[in-house]
Amino acid sequence: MISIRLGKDDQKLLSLRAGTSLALSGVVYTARDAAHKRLSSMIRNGEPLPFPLKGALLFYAGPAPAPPGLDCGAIGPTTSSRMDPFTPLLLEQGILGALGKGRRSPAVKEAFLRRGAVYLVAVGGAAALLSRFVTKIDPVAFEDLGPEAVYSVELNGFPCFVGLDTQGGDIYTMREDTR
Amino acid sequence: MFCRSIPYKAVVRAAGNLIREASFYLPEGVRKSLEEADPGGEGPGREALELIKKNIEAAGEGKVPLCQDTGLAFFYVRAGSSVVIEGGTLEEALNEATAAMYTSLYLRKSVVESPLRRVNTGRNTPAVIHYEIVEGDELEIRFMAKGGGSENKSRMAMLTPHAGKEDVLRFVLETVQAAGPDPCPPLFLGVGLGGSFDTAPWLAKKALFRRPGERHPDAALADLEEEITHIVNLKSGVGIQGFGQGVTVLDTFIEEAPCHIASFPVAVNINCHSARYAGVVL
Repeated sequence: MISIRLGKDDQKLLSLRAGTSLALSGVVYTARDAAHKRLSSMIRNGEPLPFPLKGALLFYAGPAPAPPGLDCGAIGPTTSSRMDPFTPLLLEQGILGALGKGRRSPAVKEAFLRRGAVYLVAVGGAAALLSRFVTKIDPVAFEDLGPEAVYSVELNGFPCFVGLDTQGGDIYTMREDTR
Repeated sequence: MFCRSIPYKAVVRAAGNLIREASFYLPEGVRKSLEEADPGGEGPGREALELIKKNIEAAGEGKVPLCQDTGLAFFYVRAGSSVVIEGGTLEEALNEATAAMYTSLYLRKSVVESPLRRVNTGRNTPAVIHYEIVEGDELEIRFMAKGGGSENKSRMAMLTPHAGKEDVLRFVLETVQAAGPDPCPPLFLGVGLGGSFDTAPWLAKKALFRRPGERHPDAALADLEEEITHIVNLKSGVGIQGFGQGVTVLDTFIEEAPCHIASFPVAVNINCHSARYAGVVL
């Protein structure tokens, strides 16, 4: 397992191959379906964005509320392919990449590759465990969306894998490719 | 005529307890299935299975639920025909329990009031409720918390009346392959055979309330359940979390119903590895 601190080890992160397991630290921003729709519309209308997309890692997640005494409630990845229609536009804004679960469309894979961005995947259905790797969560934008709002999430050793690497490798086809 | 009355508050309390139990503690059989699951060789699939197992312990402390997608609230109610709820309706009681527990237990509210308007109801209601009126004076309530990822990848089809077991197998296999990693494998499969356009998917959902290893009483269907599990594991290539290694399907459950001479409805309701349900008889 390789430890990566966002903002410090970004170049190293971009050099890792699909399938590599990571302990990820640093700040990511949650954005799922409704937030993607809003962000895309703001970009198209040239409106100021609620947080800088350049260099950001988007976490496709809608956390459960934090119970009293805990830093974070249940949190985990949602299905990434639902964000596919919006992803090329967000990649054009210079995001470092995204963290979610599941396959991406050929067009989105191509967009990640062209932009040199990385797609990470986390384990679905392990949210009680994953919440322990979050030290801080704060609402950033779209609070009216409830669980679909944008939150900044500070990760500390969050377990995940490189899904799409910057050389075209894909964790979901690796087994077929090596057969 | 004899009637047994059950206080409204007792129903709310019982349903609330089921929501708590299902959201934090996996049923014994589901835990065992995951303990015994084939992790495949070294790699992300094996690592993912380890995290899934550790997650059961983490949620078991009773503070943070098993999954952030704490689901739509599904209730399957078998109500004895001589049962009367005193002080309110059954539907109100189940919705009240859902709203109260999803708030007090810090579960996620995942319901929007309309698919087009998409405003969160803020209560995780309405719950999805299926009723069966049966003989007797008992009220059986079963609850399932089921996430959107696995519902999204569930499918139904109308096969022809000439279709056989092989066609059912092929449809299930194609459904699991098309779903790939998205519904969080390893999976439980509910398969509804027969009925109609509206009932086949319910048969598939109802099948998912069965315990791992609980075979259909009809021997041919019991064999088909095992065959589907075997064939999908052999041929799908999906594996744990879609990483292509280890087990894809933990168990398959079939429910069937009579159907029209022209029809052969089949529905596959996929459940994720975090199969969360609980039941009680009042």
